[in-house]
Amino acid sequence: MKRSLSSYLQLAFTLLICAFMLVPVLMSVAAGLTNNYFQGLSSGLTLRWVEEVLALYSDTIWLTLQLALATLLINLIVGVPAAYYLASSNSRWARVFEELIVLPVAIPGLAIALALIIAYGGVHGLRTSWLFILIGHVLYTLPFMVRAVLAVLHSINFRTLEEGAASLGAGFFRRFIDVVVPNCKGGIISGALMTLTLSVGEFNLTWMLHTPLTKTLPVGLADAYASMRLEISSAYTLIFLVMLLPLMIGVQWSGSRLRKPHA
Amino acid sequence: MSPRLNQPLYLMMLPVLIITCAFFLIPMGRLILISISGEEGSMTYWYALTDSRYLNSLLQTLVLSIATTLTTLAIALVVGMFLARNRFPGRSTLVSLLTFPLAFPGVVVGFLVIMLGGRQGLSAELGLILDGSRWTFAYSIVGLFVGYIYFSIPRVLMTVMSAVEKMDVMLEEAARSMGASRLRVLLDVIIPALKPALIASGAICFATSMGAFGTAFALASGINVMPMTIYTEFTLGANVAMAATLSILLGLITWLVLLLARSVSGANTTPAA
Amino acid sequence: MNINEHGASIRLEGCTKTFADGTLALHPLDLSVQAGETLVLLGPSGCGKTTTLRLIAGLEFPDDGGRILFDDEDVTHTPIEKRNVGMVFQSYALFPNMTVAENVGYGLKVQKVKAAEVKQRVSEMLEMMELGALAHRRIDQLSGGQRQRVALARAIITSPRVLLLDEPLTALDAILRDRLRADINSLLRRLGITAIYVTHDQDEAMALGDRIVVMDHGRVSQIGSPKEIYFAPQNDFVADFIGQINTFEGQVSCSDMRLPGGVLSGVALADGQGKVYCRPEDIEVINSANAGLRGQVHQTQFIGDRNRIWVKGANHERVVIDTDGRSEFKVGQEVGLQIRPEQMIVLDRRAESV
Repeated sequence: MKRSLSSYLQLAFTLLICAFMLVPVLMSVAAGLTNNYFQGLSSGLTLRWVEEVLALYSDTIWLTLQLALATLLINLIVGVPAAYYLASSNSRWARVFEELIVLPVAIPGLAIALALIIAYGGVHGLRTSWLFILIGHVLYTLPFMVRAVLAVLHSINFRTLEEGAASLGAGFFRRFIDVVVPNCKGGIISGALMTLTLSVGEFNLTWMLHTPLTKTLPVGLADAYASMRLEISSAYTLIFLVMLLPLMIGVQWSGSRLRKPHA
Repeated sequence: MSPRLNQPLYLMMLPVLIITCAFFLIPMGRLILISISGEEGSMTYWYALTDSRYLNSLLQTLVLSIATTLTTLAIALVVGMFLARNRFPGRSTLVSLLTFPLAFPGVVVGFLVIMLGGRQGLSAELGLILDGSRWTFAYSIVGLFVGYIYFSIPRVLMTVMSAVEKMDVMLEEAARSMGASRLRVLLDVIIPALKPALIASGAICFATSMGAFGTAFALASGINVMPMTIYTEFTLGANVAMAATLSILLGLITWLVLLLARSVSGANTTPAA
Repeated sequence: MNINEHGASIRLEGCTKTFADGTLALHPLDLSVQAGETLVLLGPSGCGKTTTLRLIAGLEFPDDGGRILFDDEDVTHTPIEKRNVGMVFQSYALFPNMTVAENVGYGLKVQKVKAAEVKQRVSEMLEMMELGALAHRRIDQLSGGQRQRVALARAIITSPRVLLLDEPLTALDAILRDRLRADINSLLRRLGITAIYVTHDQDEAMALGDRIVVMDHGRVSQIGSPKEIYFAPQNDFVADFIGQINTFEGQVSCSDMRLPGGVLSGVALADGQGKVYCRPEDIEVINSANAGLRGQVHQTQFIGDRNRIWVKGANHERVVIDTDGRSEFKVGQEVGLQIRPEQMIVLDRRAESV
């Protein structure tokens, strides 16, 4: 097929934007694996910097994972039922609640963090605990979980399914566990991946809420960028990207799966 | 649904309500109280909006966010149209590449800008080759702008692409059959059809830019965007009341813009990531 | 308003179309359409009719070597916006961001006609299409039939050289379809415009076309007037595709074809294995006693203006016959079948072997 000049220009522009997105990432990856970035790749490849980062910052990696999983757990326990409530209830309050849940996303993370510090910074032990950061992460990610599940609930006829189960004698919680949850699995998976991805990369809130003993990976990255040599910063970024990659692939996979119409 | 099926329904919502009240509504209320607890009381808002330091910061942030939004929309429109309309080998790879940075936190984006335009960055190397001087832009407003565009592209592009895919190609063909040039088709057919998506994703892009902290933090440039100003007030100035005031102003602006966009476009306007 | 032009004559010469994925959508096609003629492209989905229309529109371009001419002007490489064609789409493709009047006036506006004249011509056009009261409605406030009329008005207001209609009635329900078919028919006659109409519906094709092009697998199967297509199909595909038809196949000797239920006489075929077709309404039911070909009534269906009966035993497959609506047949009844030689359709063997 013949393509017009303008479509070649568009292709060129698209490739340029791709390069803009990709080149700095590749440079960073290269820098994290080279002996001396200023001499270039000719100085040889090494895992030295990666090892150094792991020695210096491995606790940030573990804390990040711990936070992400804890956030996910809370989102699953409270978010899925909430989505179910919002989909089932016709009351005016349901719409108000929906707005309310989503509100934290519309407000800059910094403002929320500040509010949390002002309100609970003085509570003994909480300020220095990782749980303080967990609160922030739950506030920030919960809307995405609820939205993802809600979208699926709106697209399936779960009330009929539920009434069917009820006619067979299933009680409320049985119906929820046996009928509602399995049928919005796609939304739960997609919300869960989103939760993990957002939690792992969260910085705006976390930077304000963290203490020297509770540093997450992005906080450690900011530290390293400010104080470490470029190779270490790059190696650290590389580790972060490696953590993020499977999550992002999962997000894209679940997104494309959900976009397909239901059989 | 029968009332019998409905019974313990409110229980499902209860945990989320408790969390939201305890950790969002109450803290936000405290934030508002703190903001007017300083020496000036509620005049602190007047002060924040008239003092040149704060006002400049606010205006800079607004200009930067608006410029970022418009530029990103233009880029996403061209790239999104192209990727949604053409099928070629490697297309899905390009789409993945362009959406992968969605999950990068602001600090990482700041670091990537340094990779491009810092003292040892790509453009510095290029400058050395071309005219013997290191070209750097990372630490100026240009660096911020580049960084903001970097983290905005994936969000806006995804929305624009899915809107283009839903668009009826025949509308364009109809306009062309009546003699409309490409420019006219763009203005009369494509942009109106994409308007809800453009407004929605533009608003999200704007709100995210207004609240972005990590990029400015990593670049440590002299530019004081609002979140940086709030941070400085809070940590260095220990002026909690002013930090709270500015936070509330910033929150109000982003929230209102999102609200406005939603009422105009009718589309779902919630920041993605 | 001067829309009573006859439009251009159109000629396609050796137009082949291969898509990007390698599928050959159109085998070399030669086609000529006279000025003012309504040509219907008819065929099942995937037969190449829409591709042909899009080639003429300028939405697709033929492979190298193909040529498209409007009158004597070569427009092969002219994109659609420069061809001055009017197009009506299956999905209407009305601009949702414009009112009815703005939609209809869009083509004039694009051609930089003065605003006052646009207004004048649009209101005349809306009157003519009985859309005057809807001028300021939004598109989503219109019914399907109204949308279709707006789409037509929008396509013809610029006096295009050819009007292209891509299954314009498919999205409508049956009753509306019949009415709009009549409307379109009278409009095309009145305008005398060159029109190319794509459809998969044979009734539509018969009703509207001056000539019909039956297409199959990217090739033209037959071109002819509706009557030629119906009564003198040139090949099996056209015979099967258009209307109901019976196929009789058997050994022929001295103009007699041997069939399971006897002999079909007067077959204009040379001796040997042969095949003839016959329309249901062309078979006469006679007393079985003195008939050459016999069978039993298997099923009857009263359709109002006619009785449709299926007769088994006469042919290898059941014979479909349309008889007078007042006739009475019982299932199992023995009947004789008679077909006059001039009502048997014998395919032109030369045409078939092409």
